[in-house]
Amino acid sequence: MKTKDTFNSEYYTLRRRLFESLYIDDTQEQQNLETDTEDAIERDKTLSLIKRLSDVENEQKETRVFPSKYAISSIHTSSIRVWKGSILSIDADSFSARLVEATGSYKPRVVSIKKTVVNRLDWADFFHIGHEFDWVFKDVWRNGGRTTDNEIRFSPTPRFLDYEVEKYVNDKMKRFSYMMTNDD
Amino acid sequence: MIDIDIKNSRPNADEIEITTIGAGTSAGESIVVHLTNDRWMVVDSCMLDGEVLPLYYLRKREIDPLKVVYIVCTHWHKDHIQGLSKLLSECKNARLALPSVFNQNSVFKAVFTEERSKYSPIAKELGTCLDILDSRTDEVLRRPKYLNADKEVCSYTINGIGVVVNSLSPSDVMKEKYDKMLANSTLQQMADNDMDTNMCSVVINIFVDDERLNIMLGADLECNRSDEKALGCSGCCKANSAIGWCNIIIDSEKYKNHHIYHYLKTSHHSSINGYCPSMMDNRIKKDKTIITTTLFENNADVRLPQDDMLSQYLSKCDYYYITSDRPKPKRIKDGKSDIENQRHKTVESIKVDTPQCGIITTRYDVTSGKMISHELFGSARSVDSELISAYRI
Repeated sequence: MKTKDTFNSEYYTLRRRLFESLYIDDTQEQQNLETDTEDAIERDKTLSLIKRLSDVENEQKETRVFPSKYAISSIHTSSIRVWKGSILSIDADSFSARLVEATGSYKPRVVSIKKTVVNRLDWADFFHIGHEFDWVFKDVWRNGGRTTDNEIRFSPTPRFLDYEVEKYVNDKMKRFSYMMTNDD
Repeated sequence: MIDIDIKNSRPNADEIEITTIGAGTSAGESIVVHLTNDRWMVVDSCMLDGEVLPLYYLRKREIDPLKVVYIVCTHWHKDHIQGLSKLLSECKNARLALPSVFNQNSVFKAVFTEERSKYSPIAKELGTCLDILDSRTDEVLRRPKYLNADKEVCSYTINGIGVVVNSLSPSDVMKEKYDKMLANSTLQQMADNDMDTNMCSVVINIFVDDERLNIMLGADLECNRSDEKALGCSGCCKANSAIGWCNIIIDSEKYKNHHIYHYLKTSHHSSINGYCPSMMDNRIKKDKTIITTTLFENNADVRLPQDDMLSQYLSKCDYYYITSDRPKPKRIKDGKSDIENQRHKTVESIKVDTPQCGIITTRYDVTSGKMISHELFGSARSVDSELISAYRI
């Protein structure tokens, strides 16, 4: 059975060869393909071997240890789900919000979210009824390692539709009409 | 975190105590009044470092917030309204008193609309207050009391002596004016324009039988004149009697019945706009009246009281106190770290100053009308020539 070091050595050699073959100038690659089909067959073989080696390596992968002892050279993220939220009410430790999934794949729902997910410095600006936010679930890739994260991003101004505001005001005016008297 | 060493001595049942609280450069003021017999009234609310200062004061003095019977919102400027909803939610037995200007459909509608559709901290604070009132079960406590010129807020009797709390403003004319102005503006814009909302301010007068004691809490009421005419405005009161100080001087029956003021919390942070020569000349006695004021500073380089007004007020009385001296701004030094270098590219210079909380407490005996004690806590100071010269720099 091959040791991990042997696998790594073969893996990186093949990966370098693949890289060289893939990132060759387009015109030159076209010419090569036309003139020498053996190279193409060789590349297919290399690709399948890399895939096999990669699968074996993944099986033997050790449990990752955090914090990583290697410096992070690159980070990229990809959103996997986005909910559009609007604050309905605010309690002492949490706030309730109406959520609508951005692609419409899930039914809208009302949830209670802990206040601590929002930076305390932003509370004064963002914690107001009607304020909108995006709740983004995303994959974060660091040096090939993937973690899943979520983030609440508040929009700078609330965006209630005109008819929603009108309905809200009318309801409130009816409810508070008893205060608009001067009987004492 | 605020930490002020306040002596915990409770006033007796027959004592009136007035406490002026200032939030320093955080620009806010509040007044806590003991209305005899463990009944308290809070006029306006302000915050510093996340603390609602009137609540902080009550807590420090170990006074139960349930003993507060009235919370007066004189007007809806940021420096008078911050933390009002929190104060109202803690003081469950307190009735909220608002200027009568508030009691009209247009203002309610503006509050609800801006609460939902605009960035309006004022509307949100007022809206939350209304929600708190609406959640109450007591029919009296859930309705705001609307105050206007010559209206009685409350009255009590202690040892056979009557104590009456009145509001001296705003006038009915101001109510109509405000309604018209609101048609072309928003509540927040009106609040940002000092003059309009200040003219709606409720001025509170506490009067004890037989002129024993006469207390005036001026809020932010202004005189209806421009700055140029500041100290010589005689003659304009009659022409403008409908609003501002002119309304009180010319039209108020309650004001006419009273004489020397023993305590004056100056209006509009002792500014030139809030200075009413007629009242200051006729109702302030140099050796009898205590005058207190709070500091106001904003980012637009507005600083109240103005330099020369400190001298002007001091010339009228022997006892003039301010809740905070103007703190000296500190400049943040440029550093060498990456963040500091980045910041330096964007911001030329940053100045910081430490907001200070100052508390001035004055206690009177209702029976004799005499002052019992007078104490300054935190950054509160007596205004003297030394303070005035340092204030000018």
